[in-house]
Amino acid sequence: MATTDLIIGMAGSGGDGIVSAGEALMAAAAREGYRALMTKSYGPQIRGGESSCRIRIATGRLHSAGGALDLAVALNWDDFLKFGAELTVSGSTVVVWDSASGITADRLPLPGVTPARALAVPLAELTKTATGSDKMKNSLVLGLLSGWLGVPAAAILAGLKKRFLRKGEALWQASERAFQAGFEFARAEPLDDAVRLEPAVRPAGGAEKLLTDGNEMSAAAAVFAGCRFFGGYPITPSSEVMQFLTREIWKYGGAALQAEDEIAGVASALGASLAGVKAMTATSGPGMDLKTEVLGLASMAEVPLVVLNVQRGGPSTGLPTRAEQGDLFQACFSAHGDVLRPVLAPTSVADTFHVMVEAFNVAEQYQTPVIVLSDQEIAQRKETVDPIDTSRIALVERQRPGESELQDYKRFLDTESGVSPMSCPGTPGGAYLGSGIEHNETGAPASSGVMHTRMNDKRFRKLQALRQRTDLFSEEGDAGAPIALVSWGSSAGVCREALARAQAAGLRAKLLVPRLLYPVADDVYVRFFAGVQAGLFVEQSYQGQLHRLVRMFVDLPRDVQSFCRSGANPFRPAEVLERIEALAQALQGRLEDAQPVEE
Amino acid sequence: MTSILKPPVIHPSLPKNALGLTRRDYEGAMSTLCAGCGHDSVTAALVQAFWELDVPPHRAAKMSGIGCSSKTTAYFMRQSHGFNGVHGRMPSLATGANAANRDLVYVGVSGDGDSLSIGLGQLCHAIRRSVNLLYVLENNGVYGLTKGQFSASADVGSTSKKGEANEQPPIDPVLLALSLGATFVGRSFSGDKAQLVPILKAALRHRGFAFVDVISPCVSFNDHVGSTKSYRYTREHYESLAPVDFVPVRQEITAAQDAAVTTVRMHDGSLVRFRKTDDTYDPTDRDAAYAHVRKHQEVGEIVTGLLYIDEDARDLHALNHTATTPLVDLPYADLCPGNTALQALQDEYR
Repeated sequence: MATTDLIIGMAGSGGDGIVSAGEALMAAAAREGYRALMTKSYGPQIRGGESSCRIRIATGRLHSAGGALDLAVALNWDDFLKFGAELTVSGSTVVVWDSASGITADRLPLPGVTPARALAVPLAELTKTATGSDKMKNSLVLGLLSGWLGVPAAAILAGLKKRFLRKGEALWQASERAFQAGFEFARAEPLDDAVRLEPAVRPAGGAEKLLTDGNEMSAAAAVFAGCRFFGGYPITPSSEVMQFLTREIWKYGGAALQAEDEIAGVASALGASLAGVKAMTATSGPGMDLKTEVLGLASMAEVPLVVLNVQRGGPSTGLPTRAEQGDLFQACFSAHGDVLRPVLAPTSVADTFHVMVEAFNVAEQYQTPVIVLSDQEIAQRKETVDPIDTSRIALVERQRPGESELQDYKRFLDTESGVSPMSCPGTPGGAYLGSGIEHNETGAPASSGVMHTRMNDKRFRKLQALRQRTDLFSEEGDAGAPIALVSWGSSAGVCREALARAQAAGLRAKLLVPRLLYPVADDVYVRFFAGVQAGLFVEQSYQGQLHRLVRMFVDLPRDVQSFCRSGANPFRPAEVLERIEALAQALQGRLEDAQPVEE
Repeated sequence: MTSILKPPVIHPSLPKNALGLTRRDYEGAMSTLCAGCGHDSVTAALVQAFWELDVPPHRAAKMSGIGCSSKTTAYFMRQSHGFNGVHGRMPSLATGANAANRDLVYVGVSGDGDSLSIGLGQLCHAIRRSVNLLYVLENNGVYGLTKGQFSASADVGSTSKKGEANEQPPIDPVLLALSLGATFVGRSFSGDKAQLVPILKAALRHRGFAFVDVISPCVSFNDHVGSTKSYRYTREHYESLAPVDFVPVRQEITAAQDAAVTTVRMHDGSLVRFRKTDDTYDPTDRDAAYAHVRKHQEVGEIVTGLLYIDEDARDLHALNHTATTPLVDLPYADLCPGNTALQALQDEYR
């Protein structure tokens, strides 16, 4: 029987075009109605060097990049082995490599692993026979994959044609011949059903899935949310957000600025927001370090501002191209003085759209900076996404003073909600002095302890309503389960998958996924953990930051522990499942221990 | 820091501008700076310039950073919008505000610490981007708010109040602005209002980044013998360039062309007229302006006046092709692409 879920990993040298082959396969699969998800990894070289990709294709929903490979393609073993963490080979993997390497099936460089099947294919030789050179190996590999996996040849060829015709007829023909050679080889040398996909249901016209990544999603969301100004500075892995907006925002009445540094990036966004338009910046950890002073200013001057932090490994330069969830403490606490600023996090590519729109809404409603913690994994992995229908999403605009309020305008009026109408510069009667210095209701500098207390109270009070936003949390699984998981960001998808498997195995468990990380919605956690006997916070940071953060505000049951580790070590569903099983066994053991011993 | 409002009484005989406002309508809160501070004179000159140009106060936005200079935005135009940002970041705040609303009149007030140390990079890039902004640098060679440390504009040999001499070479903001391509560069002295006001007026009408360095002595920490930024030293080493007149566009120009006057037409039709005292000086020649300042510096003289002007240069909006309507004025329905546009955008990802 063919499979409904398949993971392919491929690696080669920079010039081999293995990542573009992966993209072509993914695009074809998406057109055929499959769900697909792709992550890429590169060596440290700016150009050239080794590159790899892993693509997961399934007929149903996908939540993570999955675990060990079902099919591994090594154009070259040296390159493949550099991606040991990403391209895990197990006893059920089918391994394919170029026989030109001289490596035979009994001498594979995979210590301790015997793959399910090992097949050396004369990749270079076949390509040369078909095209006269070995340059089109990636097209040949696509032919092999089409034949083996059952992704229709026509769908892949359509994509190749689009790509190569631009570069000339001869190239396209060579590509097609290489593809056919691979396809025929695969037909003559079929693999087992474990790497053959069940056919997918082709979507009806217009309902085709999008193929995009988290960075593009967040930029598109900003445009939709009405963001009119982007100020930023290029930094891995968030640069694509700036690139997208630099290209697109002008079409929608906006402007984008590539500033001279991270500080100017966020400060210009703050300036634009101050002058009356929705504004954002995007960065990664090292940029967040620099933006801290302006974040404080935005809190003090009560200016709406969205700051997207696509997290990478840290501290300092850290691991620029790898995901980590280690910036939560920074997002919540990096400031002098007492500051409360909302922190949100998306859990998938599609979710990024909704969380970004929500970030703009929260920023506008409460006149506050909002930090969105994406991470490299979500931001740069390509994924099939259902078309987004925004007709039911509400957008929020900052509260403006009315005629009567402009008679005696007080910018920082201490209202019951703590939110004061914010005038737009240029409005008659609406002038005020905005500043980073403590001020009274009119905005005039004030340094008395009484006024400082009152204004701190106002700035904290206005954000308390957020703690009741249960819609920013999702709960999955068996509500009365004794075992509970909490996970956020890219790790949440892995937990979803692990939870589904645990439930399929008859274990009672549930999962809480917060999009709102700060302020901590203590009631949500208290309710979720009521009756829970054991649990895990699953997150990719050395300290287990969310677990520690939640414990500052909530008394968790004793056996709720942290399952955390440093970045660049993405969780696999199987290992989370193992932890759930272990917890279930321990609970079972405890139950048995509690039974009275029979005489 | 507290804010003391001035009594609102205005004498009926005070002259009014075209908007029917008196100079007092352009004033702000009571200054909390030291008595005799140069900055208060700059504040007075700004009041005069805005009043004479008939700028509606609510259409002006005052931006500043941190330092004594940055406090001064509270002391003029209380009916204008003000934003007192963080140290050295005024240029980027102003850039963003400018991008969002191009129709406001922006004035940024900064000091030598704010501009030449912590904010040097921001100043350079605001020049490079040609942000529409009058940038006033109140230059006193010292950190006044923190009680007397040397700043980056302190001259070699200038002494602190306790007698210690500065040995590090200064950054000259005017030479910096000229070499970075600033399209309006002036230098003046807080003690010379007759020169300063027309320069400020021309600067406010300049399209692009208008940089005005004002020697503005600090009476508490840098006005002693041995300081090169004192009132006395500045007056003794003052080398005033051709005095300028600013003729706003609404005044009919009747005077016959005078051979002794060089006229530069501003983009809005206003005129800047340089009364020549030195036949060889050309305010539209950047290299000559640079050489002139350097030549006088060599002999210890401080050249003041409107040193350089280029009215043909492109400003922030021209460089970025921004919409002619201020973004903030675009109706929300036009701004938000909505679901239909999003569906179209999504087609690119299928």
